[in-house]
Parts: sequence; structure tokens; C-alpha cells
Amino acid sequence: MLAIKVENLTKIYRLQDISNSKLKDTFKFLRKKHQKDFFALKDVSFDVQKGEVIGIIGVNGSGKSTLLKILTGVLQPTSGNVSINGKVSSIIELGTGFNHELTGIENIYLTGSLFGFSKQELENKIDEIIRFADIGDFVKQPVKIYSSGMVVRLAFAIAANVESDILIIDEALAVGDVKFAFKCINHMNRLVKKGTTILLVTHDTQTVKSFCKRAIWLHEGQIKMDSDTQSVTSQYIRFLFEHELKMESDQPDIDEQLEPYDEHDKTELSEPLDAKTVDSCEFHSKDWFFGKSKDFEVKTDNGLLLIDSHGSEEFHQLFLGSSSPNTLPENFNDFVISPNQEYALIYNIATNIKIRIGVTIYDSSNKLIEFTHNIFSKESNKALIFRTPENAKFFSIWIEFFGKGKILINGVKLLKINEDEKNIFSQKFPEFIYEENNINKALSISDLELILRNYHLIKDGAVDFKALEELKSKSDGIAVNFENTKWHILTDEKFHWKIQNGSLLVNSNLGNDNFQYIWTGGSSWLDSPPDDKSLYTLEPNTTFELNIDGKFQIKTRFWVIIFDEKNQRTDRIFTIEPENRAKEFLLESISSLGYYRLAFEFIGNGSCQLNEIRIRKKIKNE
Amino acid sequence: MGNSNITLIGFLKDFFRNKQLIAELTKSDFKTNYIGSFFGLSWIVIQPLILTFIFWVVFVVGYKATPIEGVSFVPWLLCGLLPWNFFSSCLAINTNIITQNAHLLKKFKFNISLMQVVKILSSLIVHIFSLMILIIFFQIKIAPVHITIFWIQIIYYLFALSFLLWSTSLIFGILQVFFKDVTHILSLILQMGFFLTPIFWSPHIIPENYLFLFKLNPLYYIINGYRDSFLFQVPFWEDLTTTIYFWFLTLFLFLIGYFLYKKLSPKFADEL
Repeated sequence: MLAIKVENLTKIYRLQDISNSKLKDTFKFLRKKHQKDFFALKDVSFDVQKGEVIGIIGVNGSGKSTLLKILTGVLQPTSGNVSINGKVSSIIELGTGFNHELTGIENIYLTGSLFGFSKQELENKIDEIIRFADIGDFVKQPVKIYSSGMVVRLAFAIAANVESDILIIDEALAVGDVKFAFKCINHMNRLVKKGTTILLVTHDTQTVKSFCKRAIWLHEGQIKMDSDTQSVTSQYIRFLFEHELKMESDQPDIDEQLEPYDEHDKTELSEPLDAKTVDSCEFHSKDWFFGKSKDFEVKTDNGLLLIDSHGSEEFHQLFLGSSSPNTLPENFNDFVISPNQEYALIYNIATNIKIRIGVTIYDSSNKLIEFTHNIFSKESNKALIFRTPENAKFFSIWIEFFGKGKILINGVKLLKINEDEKNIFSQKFPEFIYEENNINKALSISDLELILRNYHLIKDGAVDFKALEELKSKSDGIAVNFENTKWHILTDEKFHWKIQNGSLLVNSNLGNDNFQYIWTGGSSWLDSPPDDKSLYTLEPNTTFELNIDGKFQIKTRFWVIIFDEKNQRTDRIFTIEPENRAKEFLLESISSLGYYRLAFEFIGNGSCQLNEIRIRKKIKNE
Repeated sequence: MGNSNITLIGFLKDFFRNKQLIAELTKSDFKTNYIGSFFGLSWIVIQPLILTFIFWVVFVVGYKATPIEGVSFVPWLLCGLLPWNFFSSCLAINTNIITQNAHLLKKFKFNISLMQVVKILSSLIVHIFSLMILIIFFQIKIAPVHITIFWIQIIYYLFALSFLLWSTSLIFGILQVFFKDVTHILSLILQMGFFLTPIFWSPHIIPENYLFLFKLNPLYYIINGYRDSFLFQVPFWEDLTTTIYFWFLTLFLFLIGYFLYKKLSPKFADEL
């Protein structure tokens, strides 16, 4: 059943030069021709079903209020039809009907009568209205002594308790304190359940999203979009940004403006963040420190660390970040670890002597609280699983070896893991015996991770290289490295970002009202496919695993925008709540060949750090 | 708010349908005029009492005003002055009432002339109180006037005056929305009207040949009617031509008002 039917609605306001000839204009025979017509609404048509909750959004001056006033009957349309089924009540400009000399109760009767209620009906409702307004004994006082909040609460209480089939709300929910706003929303929900048709007008997309299934976007008096809330609001937000982009387009180059990044910003950025996350971090040859007695030779080859031990009678040690296993790494901010968490230290070390690898954990006062280690020689575990104690704060990694022989350190990676992964990672894996000629054949640390995560790649106690190669070709998707990717952003004074150590650091004081986007694939807005399509291609009909690694103090949304060959756009949005670290999502690509672009959207005050985005093909685990 | 398809019957029905709203608004309008002041509602009594007293002191004690047409001066004067004050002050307010209540009209859908009717009703209450004071004044020894059956006629004249007030309020009120100068034009008309209406002077001083010109003023009929009822025991049908003329004019003005409402009220929200 239709509650509202609007057909070809047009409302024209006559703009004129400053003159007093309004009376003349009113009479047709005197009307001048040179008036300028302003279309507040232009050929607007839509239907509203009974019980629907519809959000109407649009920028200021888009015709929202005019539409409402026509629906409530206050304004007459210039042309077009509006048919309304049922009683309409509106919550517009709260408190305007009040007589400020009269008391709250008297005003309830007065305003109630304006809403078209009989005295009898009002007498039945008055207790509920007073309870809803919740302004205590003030209800017996003249309205003129009320605070503005009280006026609004009383007004809302009256308007909300007016029983009607169609309720029109204009920006009314933005008033009052949180408790009252909550009450209002509850009340709205009750009305919705009762089957009241609600039209909610606002420019706050969040309210619309939480309330309405359908939204209408008005722009310059016309319906720009009429669809489900999610798509309308996202298009609307995008439009707002595009609009802003256009206004700023006379500024030369977006990136140039971002370059000057002074020390002040740096400290601001580093403070709220633990610079290098250990959720997943890799250490390479250059990161290692060597003990004092250097009875061994070290050389690096292809980023690998090759140690030739001469076999003295003592242990030799390598340290990550610090010069001794008992002291904290000098750069301790790079070695922060979360307490009460399972970690796996994955190492890819090929050796023919006995070595020990371990992790030392320190508390916040830099005191050593625990260390854990693995010893291996010919037989080895490829991952060291441990759980951090409650007061863990920092860590260091060390390697100890003894005897005459060679060690090839491919890489070490510390990885936060979950329960399921723990089981996989604690499986025994074959070791890689060091062979001088076979350096290049050694597995990379990410290969090892792949093996560990997909342990069915182990066949008869050995790595199934064929399966691994296959998996690698399939799954080694696209890891977005922040340093090599060009990112674009609209500048905002309250938003700083930079790329440091391969991580994207963001510092935002935007508050909860604004979104800021950072995106790739060219400086153009996200409506068009990436500039260089070859760099951003997704295979068709594939499920991808999207891995976002970072630390988030603020709410962040990650957009993957996929374009098919016809440039038809599909959005996948993943929300990352504050305090999250790494997050994995599944992403299904479209049936045809696709191109993608990435964007981050930030809201709130705080920092976040993005270490890596990895998109790779999902491989089904048996 | 406005409805260009409204019929005359529909226009009138609007007021019957909204009688409760009118009652509520009248109550609140009435209250706001007196609420908060120290004497409160007693001003309704005090005001006319003091006015009457001043006139008595000035004209009877001071100027030694002689009775006019065989009636003491003060009752005679008040019979003209009270309806005139009611008419002029209420019309002045009603002319601006639409603009003043723009905020309400933009929010609620209702016939804007309702506000004028409300104002007329609340002023009427005050006016009736003044008349009661007048009646009490008549009873005291200084200016005895005898209660007669003709006093009932005053109800007829109150109705006639209110109706005239409504018709003129409609016209001036609606035009004022589009043409702000109406406010000033009206105040000129009212000032002129004060002297062209037989309030301070008796129609008997006008030569018979020119009297019809003064009778064109509808207030002439009302004020004469007040005096006829209270002081001279003359029935309202005695001067039948003036009565017919008055009703013809009032209804004609009302139709003009209705026509203006029908044509212009849809444009109110655009103008306000």
C-alpha cells in the first residue's frame, strides 16, 4: 500500500531584483517577464510504501526542506501531484509552536491543538508526553525559563507522541544529549515496528544508515539517486569528496604538498604508535648484530646471511637489534610485542652445525622476564611457538651457534598466530641442510610461511616443491608495499600521513564528522579505473585473501574498488575497528577480468599504521 | 496552509472544524496578555475603570461638558470610544498577524485567518469586560442610565462589529504579506477614521445633506447602534437603509477577503 506518491513535483521560487513589487508579481496581468526562476524541486517523483523508513539526504539547498514542506502541506507545489495516504505529522524546527509565556503543560495543549488533537486525546497523552520529555518540575514553569535543551525535549516529546501514519523528521535527532538522543531513536524504532512510515531528512549519512533501508539523494532539486541506503550514502560521500576535489583542483600537485614533513609531525606520529609491529615482521641480514668474539666470517649474498664458523670452543652469538641477549634492543620501539598472545618465530635457516635460536622478552621496565629457544641441527622445527607473558612489552631475537660449519640465514619472521595456526606451526618440518652450491635454491621466508600455513605441502616428511611452486604461482598475489605505491589524498590540515620504513603512518584529528581518503591507482577519483591497469589486475572468478596488517587507533575502512572491463564499478568495503592489528578478509573478484583500486578511509582522532596489504588468492585448506 | 481550491463553504467550515484549536489559541493569547503582570487579569477591569474615570474628570469636572442628546457626556462618549478602540487596535494587530506568526505557518498546516479570528475573540472578551464596567458605571448616581430591553441589541452589534473586523482583517492581513506598506496605510486610515467617525461629535451637527457621506463609514452604524441600544432605546431596524448598507458592505468586504485568501494564501509560505 502506498503511503506517499509524488509525481513530477516541481517547485519554483521566483528570484527577483530588490524591489517591492511582490504584489504586482502576484497578479498575473502585471507580471514582468524578466524574473529569474529558481527550481527548488524539479520533476521529482517517488513512491513510499506504507511502513517504509526512508532517508532523504543532500547538501544544503538541495531541496530537502522544500520537499518536506510540500509533503506536510505547508508549501504548495508549482506543478505536479502529491497524494498522501494517512495522517502526516512532522518534527521540523522543534519548539516553534511554543508560547514562551505559558507553562510547559499549557504549551503541550497548545501545540497539541496545532497538531490537530482534541482536548480529550491530549488529556490521555499528557502523562506520557511529560514522562518522555523528562524535564521534571519545569513542566509547570513558563517555557521562557527553559534551557534550549529542555525546549527541544518538550517539543520532541509532543511531536513524537502525536499518533500519525506518516512522520516527517527534519534534522531533529541531532539535538539533545546522548541519553535523550538514545530515547528518541528507541522511540523511532517503536514507531517503525508499529508500521509508521518515516521520512528522515538529514545530511548526516550515519543517521540514515542506522535507520533507513532506502535513501533518496536530492541534488539541486532533482533525485540523483533512489536506492538502498548503503549505495546511496557511499555515492553521496564520494560525491562530496569529488566536489571538494574539484574545488581544490587549481592547486598544483597533491603529492608535492605532502612532502614537507617536519620533525614536529614526526614525533607526533611516533608517539601514539609502536613503530614496528611484530604481528608480522621480518628481519634481514642488515638487522643483525654480532657478538664480540668474531671467530667466524659473515657475508651476505642475495640478502641472505652466510656464516662460516671456524669451530672454536665457545658459543657465538648473533643478535637482532641489540649487542647482547640480556639487554634491550637499542631501537626498542621497533621491538614491541603484545602480552598474552601466541607468536610464532618462523626462521629459515639452513645449517650443518648445532645452533640455537631464541626470543627474549622484557617487561615495560626493560627487565628480562623470559626467554624461550629452540635448538636444532640436522633435525629442526621451523617455527618457535611461544606465548608472551602478561607483562611482556619488548623482545629481542638471538641466534647462538657452536662448532665448525656453515649457517645460511634466509630470514626470520615473528608472526602473531591464532589457535588453529598454532597447531600447524608446531608440526615438525624437514630441515634444510646447508649445501654450498644450493644457496639460491633455498626457500624464502615467505615460502616457509606458506608451507607452514598449508602444511599439506609436506609430503613424506619433505617439502613438496612441485606443489609449493604451484601454490606460489597461484597465491603469491599482490602485496602492496607502501613505499613503492603512489598514494593520493585530498589535503586536510587535520590529517597527516607519511611513509616510513615501508609503513604508512597516519595521524588524524578529523573528529567523527569527516572522512579522509587515501587511495591508489592514480590521482583521479575512485570512479574511474586505475591509470595503469597492468599494475592493478585481478584474475576473474577468484576468491582473494586480503590481509591488512597494521595498527589502528581510529576507525578505518579499507575499500577495494573493482572495475570490470566495461569500467562498471563494484565496491568491497572492510571496516577495521580501532585497536585491531592485523585483519584478514575474503574478497571475491568479479566474473570478468577486473582492475582494482585501493583506498583507505579514516575517521576520528588518533593514529594508525599500515604495514602491509596483501591480496592473494585463497587456497582452500582440506 | 493555503488552498486555492477552497470553496466559500469550505473556508467557513475550516473555522468550525478547528473550534478547539481556536479556543486553545484564544486562551493562550488571552493569558499571555495578562500573565506575569502584577495585577494579572484584574487589568481587564482596572483599565476601563480608570479610562472612564479620567474621561469623567476631564470632560465633566474639567470642561463641564453638557449632556448630549439628553444623555450625560461620559456614557455617550464611551459608547463611541470603546467599540472604536476595539476595532482599531484589533485591526492593527490583525494586519501584521500573518507575518508575525510566520514561524507557525511554516510548520503547521492551517488556515491563517484562524489567528485573526483568535485575536478578534480574545479582544472581544476584553471589550465585553469593558462594556460591563460601562454598565456598572451607568448604574452609579453620577450618570444614571436605565436598563432597558434594548440593551440586548448590543449582542447583535457585537456580532456585526466582529464580522466587520474579520472581513477587514482578512483584506488588510493578506495584502500586508505581499505589500508591507499596508501597515502604514492602515494606521493613516485609522487616524482619519477616528475623526470621521462620530466618537467625539454627534452626527446631529452634520448638515442633513452631507450625512449620507458619513454613513458610508460602517463604524458609523456600529457606534450609532451602541448608543441607540444603551442610551436611546432605538431598535436596530429603524434605520433600515443603513442596516442593509452595512451588511451589504460587510459581506462584500468578506467576499473580497475570501477571494484574496483563495488567490494568495498558497503563496504565503513563499513570501514569509
